[in-house]
Amino acid sequence: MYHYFATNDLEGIGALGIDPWAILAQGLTFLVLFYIVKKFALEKIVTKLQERHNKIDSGVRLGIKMEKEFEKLQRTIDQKLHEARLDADRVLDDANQESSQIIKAAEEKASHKVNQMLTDAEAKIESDMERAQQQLRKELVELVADATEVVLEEKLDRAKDMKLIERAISEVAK
Amino acid sequence: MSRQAVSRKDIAEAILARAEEVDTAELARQVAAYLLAEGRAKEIDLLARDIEQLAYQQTGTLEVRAESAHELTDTVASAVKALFTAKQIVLHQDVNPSLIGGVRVQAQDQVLDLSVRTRLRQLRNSA
Repeated sequence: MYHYFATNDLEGIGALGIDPWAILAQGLTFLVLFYIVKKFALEKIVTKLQERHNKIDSGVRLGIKMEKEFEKLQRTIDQKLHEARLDADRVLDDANQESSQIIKAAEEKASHKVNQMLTDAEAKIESDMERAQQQLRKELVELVADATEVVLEEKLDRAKDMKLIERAISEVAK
Repeated sequence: MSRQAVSRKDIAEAILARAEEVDTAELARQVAAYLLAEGRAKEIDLLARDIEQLAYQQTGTLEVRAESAHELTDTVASAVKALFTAKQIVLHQDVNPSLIGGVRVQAQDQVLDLSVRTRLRQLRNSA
């Protein structure tokens, strides 16, 4: 039948190679197929497609939401980091101040101690010098007394001794 | 029964009372024996002073001791006596070369030390 239609349509549109009966049959086949698919499969396919679309859609929305949450979280993290850095800087500043104060106090204490040691040393030197001077004076006086004793023992005769006694007695009698 | 010790003043009075009657040396021996027997030999110097004081009170006689490195001349001895006021002054002289020079005068419990030795010691102590 297809061959008959084909040989009879060599004139008109058959010359173009187009077979209307084939087209019709294909059309009918398509319609039958469409009906069958529509009746038995289309709804399910559409439903499945819809489900899939919804799933994809919800996935995309979830993704967008997650992204927003992530950004929010990131901002929170950044904020916390910033605050932590500020706290750390503050702690560092306090520690530096405290250490500076400790160092300053230690320096003052050391300086005071050094001054005290210098004062003590000066006082000791002065005391030692005074003691040495006194000792020197004492030794000098003893030396003079010893020398005087020797000289007088040698030089002081009776005549001079009597003059000495007379002078001493006249001093007392005044 | 315990015996009360005789006071130095009483001893001194007894000695002075007997000084006119008994030889001085003999009296001194008796006093020394007594003091030794009584165990009071250490009081001899104090007793001598008491006797001098009592003699001065009773007779106005002052015993003066002058110690010097050289024998005093009469002039100096008179100058020493002139330091004191009494009815009668008896000067006892001692020569002690260790004084170096000057004189040390003692009457009763008063001492006037003008010796060179003491002056030098004072000089040493003053340093």
